[in-house]
Parts: sequence; structure tokens; C-alpha cells
Amino acid sequence: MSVDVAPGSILVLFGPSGAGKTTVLRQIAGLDRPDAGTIRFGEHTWFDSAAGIWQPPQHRRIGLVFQEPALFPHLSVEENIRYGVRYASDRCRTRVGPLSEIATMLGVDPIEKRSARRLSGGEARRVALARALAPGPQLLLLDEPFAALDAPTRTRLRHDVRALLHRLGTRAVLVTHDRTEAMAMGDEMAVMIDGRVRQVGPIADAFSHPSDAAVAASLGVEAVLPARVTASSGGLLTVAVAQMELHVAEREPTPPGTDVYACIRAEDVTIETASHPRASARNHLPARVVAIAHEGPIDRVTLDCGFKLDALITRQSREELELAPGAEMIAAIKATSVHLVPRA
Amino acid sequence: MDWTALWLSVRLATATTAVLLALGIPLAYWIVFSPWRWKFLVEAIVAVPLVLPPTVLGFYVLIAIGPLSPVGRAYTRIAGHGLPFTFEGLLIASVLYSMPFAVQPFSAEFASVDRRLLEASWSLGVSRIATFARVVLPLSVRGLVTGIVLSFAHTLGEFGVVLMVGGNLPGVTRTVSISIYDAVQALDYRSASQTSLLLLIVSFVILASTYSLQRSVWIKPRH
Repeated sequence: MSVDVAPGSILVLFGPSGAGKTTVLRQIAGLDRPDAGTIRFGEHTWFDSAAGIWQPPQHRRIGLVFQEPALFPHLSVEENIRYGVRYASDRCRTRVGPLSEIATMLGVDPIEKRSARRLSGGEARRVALARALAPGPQLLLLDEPFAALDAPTRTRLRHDVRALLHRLGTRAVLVTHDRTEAMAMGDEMAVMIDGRVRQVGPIADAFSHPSDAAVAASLGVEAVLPARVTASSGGLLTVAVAQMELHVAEREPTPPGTDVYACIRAEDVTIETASHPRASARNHLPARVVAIAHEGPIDRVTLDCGFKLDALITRQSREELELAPGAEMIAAIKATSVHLVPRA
Repeated sequence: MDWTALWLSVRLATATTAVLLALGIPLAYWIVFSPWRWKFLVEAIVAVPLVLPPTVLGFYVLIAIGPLSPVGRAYTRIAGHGLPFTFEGLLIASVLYSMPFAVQPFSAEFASVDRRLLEASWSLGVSRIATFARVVLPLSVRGLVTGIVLSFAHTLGEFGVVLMVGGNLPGVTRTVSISIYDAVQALDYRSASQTSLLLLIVSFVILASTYSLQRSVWIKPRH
């Protein structure tokens, strides 16, 4: 795969556990050697099996942050941050600016004398990030660096890291299986499934236009429904899903008779008590409430409209609508919210 | 008490430990970090003295450094005298004999260093050798101390190898254990018991301090 990542932007390597994300990251870092192929960054060739080129990690000018901070336990915070600095050339040090600026933006005291092993989880991650960025890497590699942190710390760190990378103009690759993290931090996204990159593109595109059903499922598009296009007129497709019909905006020419997956995100399903004939939503499906699950302030309502469909609504809406299992409702879906993936 | 023999044993143990420190660290590093698939053969060779009767090891060393071997002849040409029944010959035998007592604690400690620390160091531009010096060695102090202490104590108590390679020359190759054997043969139980007791106490103190270090009973748990 080949991706253009603007300076200061983050490429998310997204996929379920076991998809091979970490393997790819380690190969980019030079810690593992692929069997065949090439790895290029800008004008640098880091690996080319045909030409016999292999750059060890020391020559790639990368920063690396693991899920565990992996700080040097026998060194102080300051010694950890400065560890790689004397090996970086003067050129990249001046390009990045003073080390203290990085440390300050990460909320780390650059002359902290405490032992690295005395830090809390969040502090240790910040020091690990400062250590990785201090020598002025041209590429920062992040392997689920915030996975083990509590939610508020994670949110703060995501924000700080994004701001810092933008400030430094450093490109980064972030490995994650957390879609919230991907959306929170990513600019570009590559979706990996079973060791292959299945889709590459701007993050919003990847989420709203998954290239196939496996990508859609891994991105958390809640409903992936087998369907068939039955009619097409004026940019609007009619799609048969189970015994129901959906109207779907035609983004790509899809002739009637095509088997497709209809992907509907739970965020895009609204619940109504009675049909609103003049509403913009094209699809109003009679639905029975099957179950209601609480996800923080949001409720996930599972509906049966001839097929299973999830809707995410606020608790207030649920209370106003007096939703309970068994209730008969209307599920409304905009024609533009249904994404069709033609079946192979 | 045979102070000459005791002093000789201490000198031999010190020299052996110094040589093992110089040879054992690179060897242990290679055993831990080499990707070579046959390296277990080297590990086995290093560990052979653990199970081989010391007399057998001594016999082979005697042959290997004797006047009939190329090594022995080359040494005689350079030094003007042969290796068997000299301090140098004894040193070579002791180094081989005590090698597992140094290399195994070294390599076990090197291998226990979290690999991600090494990878973090490499990614920061630090070479493998510099990473070893700046990360692995400082985190392996306990294993190094254990190896040093065990090599020293093991050399101090060796008997069979010394007898085969060194013989029994007072002040040259008569170590403390051979001195005890001689005393018993001469029915000088008083001298034998004094020297034996000293050796027992020294061995116990050395091992007790090593184990206390490993268990870190004097160091509060760190977090």
C-alpha cells in the first residue's frame, strides 16, 4: 500500500486483533524483517528484498512507543528523555527545536530526576513519547500507546499528542483496534484484516464508505445486511432487505439485480412513534423493540424490522418515547445513510 | 594451616574470575542474542564441566596443552617452558572448569532483560553494542555478581582438574584442596581440619551473600 501523509498528520492502522497491524508496524520500525517486498519512506528505501536493501532501526530515524512505556528502569526521567538525543545529528535537533519544548507540551519536566520506575501509567506514557520525539524522528510509530490507561487520561493524551505532532510537523503511524481512537486521532486510515490492507483513505471516507463487508464489520458499521438491488430511478435505488424495501441514494452505478451488503450505522437510525410523511428520511420501517442496552449516556436499541437493526439514542429520547422491549415503533433511515457494498 | 596453598588458591580463583569476566560476558551475549540456530551446541559445550568428572576434563586439558599438542608446542616455543604443571596451565584448566558458573548466570540475566527496552534503544538510534552497554549490563548487575562469586568459589574448591593438570608443586600448583588431601595422607588431621574449616566457612559466606543478593533481602521491593 502507499499513503500520502501530510506533515504532522497521523495514519491509523486499524483492524481487529490478530490482523497483523503490529507486525506491519514492527517491519516499518525495522525490528522485524519481511520475507519479501519493499518499505519506502519518502525518498528513503528501508527495505527492498529484490535489491537486498535492509536498513536497521538505528538508521531509520523513527520514534517508537509501545503499548507498555518500556522506559529504562535504571535511568531517571531526564536520562530516559535524553537517551537517544546524543545520537541524533545536529540538523534534526535544530529542526525540532529544544527538547524542553517537547517535554513541556507533553507535561513532562525535562530535568526530572525521579527514577522512571516511580511514574504512574499516564506519566510513563508521556515520558515514553518525549523520549521517542526528543531525537527528532521523521516518523513516529505508536502501537496502541494509550490502551492501558483510564479514559480521562487517554483522552487528554490523545489531544496532547495530536497537538504536539502538528506543532512539530512529525508524521505518525498509529496502530489501534479502537474506532473512537482512530476517529479521534487519525487523518488517514488503512484498514487491515487477516494480514492484508483492505482499504486506505481519509478517515471519514473509510468509516462512511467501507470498501467491502469485512472492512465495514471491522469498522463497527453495526448492521451489515445481505440485500439485492431491485430497482433504480432518478439516483434512488430500491433495495430488498429480508422482506422489506429500503430506498438508498445511488453513489455508484449499481444495476438492479446486484447482490449487495447494506451497511447501516446505529448512529444513523432514528426512532419515531408515528411516520412523518414530510420528513426527509426516505425509509420508515415498522419495527419492534427487541432489547435496550445502556452504553453510558447512550442507549443501544435493538430493533426487529424483518431484520435486526441497532439504533443509538440518548437516554432522554428513550424516556420520552417510552421505549421498552416489545414496543411497536418506526425506524427511520435516510437514504444517504445506507451504504451499499456490492458483493464479490 | 598451609597458607602458601591458600594464597595460591586465592590467586588462581582471582585470575580465573577475571578471565571469565572478560570471556564470559561476550560469550553470554552471543549465546543470548545470536540468531544462529546451532548455538545450543555452544551452550552444551560451555555446560559440559557441570557433569563431566573433573579428572576427565583435567585429562583432556593436560593432553591439549601438553608437549604433544600444537598448542603446547607453540607455548613452549614462546615462553620457554611447557604449560602442564605451571600456574598458567592451571589457569587455563580452571577457566574451562568454571566457565558454566560464570556464563550461565550472565546469560540468564541478559535474557531476562525486557526485549522492548532493547528495541526502544535501537529505535532511538543506539547501536546494538551500545545498547548492551547502556541497558543490558546495568540491568544485569545481579547476574554478573552471581557469576563472579560462583566462579571464584568454584575455583577455590577445585581438586580433580588441578591434580591432573597442575600436579602438586608447593607454591606453584599445590592449591588448598590438594594441601588438605596431602595433610590427610600424612595423618596431619590438625592441619587438614583447620584448612577444611576455613574453606567451609569461606564457601558458606560466599554462597550466602550470593543468595541474599539474588533474593534482594536487603533491598526493599521497588515499584
